[in-house]
Amino acid sequence: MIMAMVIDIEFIAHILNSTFRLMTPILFVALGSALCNRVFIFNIGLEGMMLTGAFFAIVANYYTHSVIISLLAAMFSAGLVAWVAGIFMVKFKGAMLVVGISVNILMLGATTFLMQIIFGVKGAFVDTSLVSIPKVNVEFLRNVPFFYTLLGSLTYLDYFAVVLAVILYYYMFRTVSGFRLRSIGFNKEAANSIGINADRIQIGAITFSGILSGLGGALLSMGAVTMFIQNITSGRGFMAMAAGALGSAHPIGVVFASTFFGLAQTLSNIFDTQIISSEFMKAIPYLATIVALGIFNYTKIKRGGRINNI
Amino acid sequence: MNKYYKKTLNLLEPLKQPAMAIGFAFIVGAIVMLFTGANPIEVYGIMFKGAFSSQFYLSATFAKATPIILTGLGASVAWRANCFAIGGEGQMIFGALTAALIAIYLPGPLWIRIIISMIGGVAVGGGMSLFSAYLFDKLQMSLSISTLMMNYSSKFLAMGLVVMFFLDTTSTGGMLKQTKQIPEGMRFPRVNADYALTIGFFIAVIIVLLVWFLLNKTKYGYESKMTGYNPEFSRFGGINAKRIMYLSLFISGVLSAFAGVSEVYGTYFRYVSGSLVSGGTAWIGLNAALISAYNPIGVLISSIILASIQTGGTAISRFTDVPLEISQILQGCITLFISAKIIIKWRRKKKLIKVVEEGGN
Repeated sequence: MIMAMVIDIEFIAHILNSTFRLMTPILFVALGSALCNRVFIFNIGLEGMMLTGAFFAIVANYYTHSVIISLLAAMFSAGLVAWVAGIFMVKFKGAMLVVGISVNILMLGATTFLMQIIFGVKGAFVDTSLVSIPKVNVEFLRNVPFFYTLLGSLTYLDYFAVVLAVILYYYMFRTVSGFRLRSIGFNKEAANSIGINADRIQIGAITFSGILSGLGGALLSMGAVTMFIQNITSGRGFMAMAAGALGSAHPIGVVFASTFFGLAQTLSNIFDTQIISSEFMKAIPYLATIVALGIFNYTKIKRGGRINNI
Repeated sequence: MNKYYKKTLNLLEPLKQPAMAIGFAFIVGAIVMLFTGANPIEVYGIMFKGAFSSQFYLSATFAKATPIILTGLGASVAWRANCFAIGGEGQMIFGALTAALIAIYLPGPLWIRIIISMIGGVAVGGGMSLFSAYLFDKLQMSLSISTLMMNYSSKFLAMGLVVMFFLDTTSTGGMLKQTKQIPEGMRFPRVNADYALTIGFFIAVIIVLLVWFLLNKTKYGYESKMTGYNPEFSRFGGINAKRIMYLSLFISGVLSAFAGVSEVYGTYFRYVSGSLVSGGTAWIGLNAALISAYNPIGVLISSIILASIQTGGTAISRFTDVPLEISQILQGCITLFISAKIIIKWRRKKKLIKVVEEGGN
């Protein structure tokens, strides 16, 4: 029975669809992580920023029932947290790892705290009045089941994630400003000496990575499901960091790396519900991260490449 | 007189930064409470009472501090040698699970089971930490990423193992994902039958002293400190940085895993899935290490402070409308403010140079 399902073409479409949906929240955050890596910032606080975005998207959603305002709230709140983190990392010369970890603990506490203050619930908040991000209408594909499943229930934001990767690629590698940004990653002192305000660009990059994490978080809480769960990100921000590293901090590489994590999550979901109903499968995405990074680094070292890691 | 004054001032110097950070954090906490409509002074009063006011609360605080001390020591040993690993959680989980399973299923006299179960638990934790060291050494995989991923996989793998093979179906009908209890004779004895405090806390204090000795009085301690200060310099000085890294991470893993073991022996008497993760013990331990600048004695003190924020937080949520998570907010703020310490150090150095120059003139 399982074999019949596996070769079913619609099942493949279903897997691809699910991979794409699970990939895009990670992609947003991973692009932010890649941007940070390019300016020599190791931003482990992305997890907390993503959580911030997911939470404030739902808060704004609850009060305004507007998708646009919810997304703006997500971007603004996560961007604000990232900006503060950036000030601590760059201006106050705080150890990046310590600032990032603090942000994660702080925002995990703050979102749970505020959830109880604002909504009066613990654990999860769901309300029928909440609106979700509109899905792209694929009714016209109803006669083509493969594409109907493949492109079904995708939001506009999902597509935008990929568009954004292309835009970021163009910005980083085809514009003067992007070149300046990358020069900081090569040598901050040298960049400073030719009149680039490296501090400002670093803080800007961290803030922007926060804004992207906010979007990724909003996609989690307003995409496939519309609800906020305590610690809804559950390590996706960390996974996105791994995706940023796996994609060599190159926007297009990051798309492929994120896809890999989307696929790992999809497979863990499918096995979870259909073959072995077990917690083991939930470990797959995290184990896959270690294996994938290991293989990637191994081949890179074999070719004589250097890996920038902190 | 002046000399003694200066000496005490020097001794108090390392306390300046943590004290300031904790102060700032409490101010932020107070502002947060004001927003919720609570009176911060009153809430902090309840918090203090809920952590220290009676023998009962005090022993709860010390019991809570035990795993924090141990994971804090684990983080300190690694971080001071420039190994920024954050795998305490995963090591704790598998340390606890291994120790619990050996304690439950190994036949033989109890004392042999205790020894084997403890050694087994810490060996697994040390091994996990060594694996991340290996990934860093051979594959240049960032320690923070590999250990983070191991934390999450450990959580789910341990849960899966318990559910599939070792589930205790008798007590809660399998509702809670937990193993059977370890035999009564193996548990850490309580100091007073009515209180939560066990000898685990005192074992942790002894380990603090051992780690202090290791870091301050041995060759390894000196070498790891030098590697932490300046890896390049220490390499020229003939220190085998790789050996130091493997050793530091192994010791770190062993200590974190023992935190899990002590929770099994002293608190839960079994492995309860999720119990070690939900409180964020390993992260609080890391906070303790950061606050104390990796000084073992400092870890002991800051762990008790952080544990008191936790037990006090429980009291707050019981007696006021302020949610328990206020303690997480306070902890996050403390480390955030701690992180900005470099600027103060830098200023002090400048002053020092000035003093030296003046002295020279």
